[in-house]
Amino acid sequence: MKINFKIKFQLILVFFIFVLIGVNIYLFGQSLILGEAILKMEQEINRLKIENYELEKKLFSLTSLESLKKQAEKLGFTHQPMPFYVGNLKYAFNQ
Amino acid sequence: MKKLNFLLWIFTLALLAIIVKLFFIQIISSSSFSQNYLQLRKIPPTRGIIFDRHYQPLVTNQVTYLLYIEPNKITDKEVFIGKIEKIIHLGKATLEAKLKTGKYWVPVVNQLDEKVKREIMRLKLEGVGFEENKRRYYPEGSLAAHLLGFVGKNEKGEDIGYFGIEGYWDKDLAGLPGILKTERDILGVPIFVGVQDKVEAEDGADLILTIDKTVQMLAKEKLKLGLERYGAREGCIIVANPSTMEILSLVCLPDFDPNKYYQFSEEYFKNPAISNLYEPGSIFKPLIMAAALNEKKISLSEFYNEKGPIEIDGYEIRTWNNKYEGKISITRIIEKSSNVGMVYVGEKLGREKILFYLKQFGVGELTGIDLQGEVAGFLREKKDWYPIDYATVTFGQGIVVTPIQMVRAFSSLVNGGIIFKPFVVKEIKRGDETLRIRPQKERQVISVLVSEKIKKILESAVENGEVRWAKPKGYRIGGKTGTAQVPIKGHYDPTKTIASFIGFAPVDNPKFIILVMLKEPSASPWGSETAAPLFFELAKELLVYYNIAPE
Repeated sequence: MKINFKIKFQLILVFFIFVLIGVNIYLFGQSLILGEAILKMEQEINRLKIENYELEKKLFSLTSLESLKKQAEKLGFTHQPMPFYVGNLKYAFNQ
Repeated sequence: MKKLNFLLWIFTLALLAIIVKLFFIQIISSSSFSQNYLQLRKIPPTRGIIFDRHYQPLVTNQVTYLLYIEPNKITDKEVFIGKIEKIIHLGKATLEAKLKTGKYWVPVVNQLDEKVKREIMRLKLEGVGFEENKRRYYPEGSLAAHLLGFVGKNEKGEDIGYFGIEGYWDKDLAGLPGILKTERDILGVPIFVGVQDKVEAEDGADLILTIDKTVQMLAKEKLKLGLERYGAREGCIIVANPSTMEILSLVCLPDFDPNKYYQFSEEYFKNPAISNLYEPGSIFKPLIMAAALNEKKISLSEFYNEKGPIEIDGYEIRTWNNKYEGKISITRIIEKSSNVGMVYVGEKLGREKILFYLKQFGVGELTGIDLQGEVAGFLREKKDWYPIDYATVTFGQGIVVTPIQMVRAFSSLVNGGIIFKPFVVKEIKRGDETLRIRPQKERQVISVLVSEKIKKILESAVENGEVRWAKPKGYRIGGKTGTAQVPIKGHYDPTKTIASFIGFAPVDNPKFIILVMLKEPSASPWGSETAAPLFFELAKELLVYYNIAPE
C-alpha cells in the first residue's frame, strides 16, 4: 500500500514536471514569437518614419518657391503686371 | 521502479544545475550579464519644424546615414574599393587609407541620403554598415539663411542651434530625449517577459514665424539685383509691419547655404541686420524732427533761413550738395535733407532732450528680437558729448545703430508713436497646445498727432525730394533717403558710403515698412540713386502682393 502510494506520487511528480516543461516550452515559444513581432513592428515603424521623412522632403522640395519659380519659367508664365483698379470712379454710370 | 528513480534523479540534478547556473547569473555576477541583455537606449527627440506665417515649411528634418566599414570582415579589398568608390566618390586612396587603419570600426562618409544607402546595400558587401542620423533640411536653400541660422554640433557631438532662430529658440526646438530600457536576447529580439520600460521623448516645438516666404523671396531677389546693379559689397532689406513690429522679411547678402553651412567661413554666419552697427545718416533725421515736434519746440508753419554752411567748434557743416535755398519750411528741411536745417532743429530741441529721445527711440538698447546674435550698440555718456556731437547726431552722424534698431525706431514714427518689440516667432506649437505671441508695446515715444505730421512730411519727402523715383502710380508712399560716409581711422572716407532708404506704404494706414541698406555701392554713393529705386521696386511688388488698392 505504502509502495503503491510512493509510485503514484513519483508518477504524478514526473507527469507534473513534463507538464511544466511543456508549458514552459510553449510560453517560451510564444514569447519568442511576440518578441519577433515586436522587433518587426519596430522595424516597420522605423521604415515608415524614414519613408515619411523622404516623402516630406520630396513634397517640400516640389512646393518650394525656388522649384515653383523654375516650373513657372519652364511653362512660360510671365511676370505679373501692376493691376488696374476700377475703384474710386469719378463718373456715375446710372444718371 | 529503478527506472523511475533514475529518471527522478536525472530531473532533480538537471533542475539543480539550472538553479546553480541561475544563481550564478542572477546573484554572483548579475552586473556583467545584465549588460548583455539589458539595453539602455536614449530616444532622441525630433527637432521642431519651422514654418512661415502661412504654414509653409522653412526648415524640416531629414534622415541621413553614416557609412562605416569593419575592415576585418572585408576579404577582397580591391574589389570592395572599386565597387563602393563608384557610388560615394571619396577617392580610392582615401578608401585604402581607411581600410588600413587597423581598427575594427571605421567611419567612411557621413550625411548620405536614403537613395545612396540603398545603392550601397544593393551591392551586398560584407563589412559595411550604416548608422542612422537626422539633419536639418532647408527646402528653400539659403532663402532665409541669416534669419534661420543652422544646426551644428557642440563639443560633446550633440546637435545645437547656432545663430538666428535655431540659436535663439534652440531649447524649444530641441525637445527632451526619452529613455528606452529593454531586455533583448542575443539576436536583439525583445524578451517579452523581461523589462520593457519606455519614457517617450518629448519632441521639440514647431515654430510658426511672422516671416512671409513670398515677401522674403521678393526682398532677396531685389537685394541680389541691387548688389549686382550698384556694385555694393553688402546689403540688407528688412520688411516689417510697423503697427506690430512683426518681421515679414529679413534678408542680408552675402549669405550662406544652411544645408552646407560647413563650407562657409564664420564671417558669413553673422546677421548684419542685427549684429552690425552703422551710422544711419539722413534716415535718422525724421526721428530728431519728430522729437522736436513732439516737444513743440518747432511747428510746421515755421521757416528756417538756410543761408549757407554753419560752423560749430571749428567744424563746418554743409548740405550734401552745398546748395542753400534761403527761407525754407520745416517740411522742406526733410525734403531736401538739409544738414544745416537739422542742426537748427537740434538746437531748438536742446541737448538734454536730444539724449532723452535717442534713448526713447532705443539707440544703444537691444530691441529684444528673438534672433541669436543681436548687439545693442552704444550711446555715449552725457559727459562724452561735445557740442559738435549734438549737431551731427541730428543728421545721423556720430552715432551707431543696427538696421533692426533703425526699423523699430522709424516704425514708431508711422504707427502712432509706439515703440514695439520686434519679433519673428508668432506661434509655438507643442503637440496640441499652441502658444501665440502677441505684439509687445514698450513705450509711447511721440504723440499720435506728431506721428501723423511726420507721415505727411515723409510723404512730401518722396513727392518733392531731390530725385524723382519710379513710384507706383496712385499710391501714397512716405520715406527718407540716407547716405552715410564710412568712418575709417577717425575720419570719414568720402569714397565709401552706406546708402539707405527707409519707407512705408500706404501713408494713411501703413501695411509695411521697408529698410534698404547697401554698403559701399560703386555705381553711385547716394542712397537716392541706389537704395531708393530698390525700395520702390520692392514696394511695387508688395502693393500687388497685398492687393492694396490705390488711395
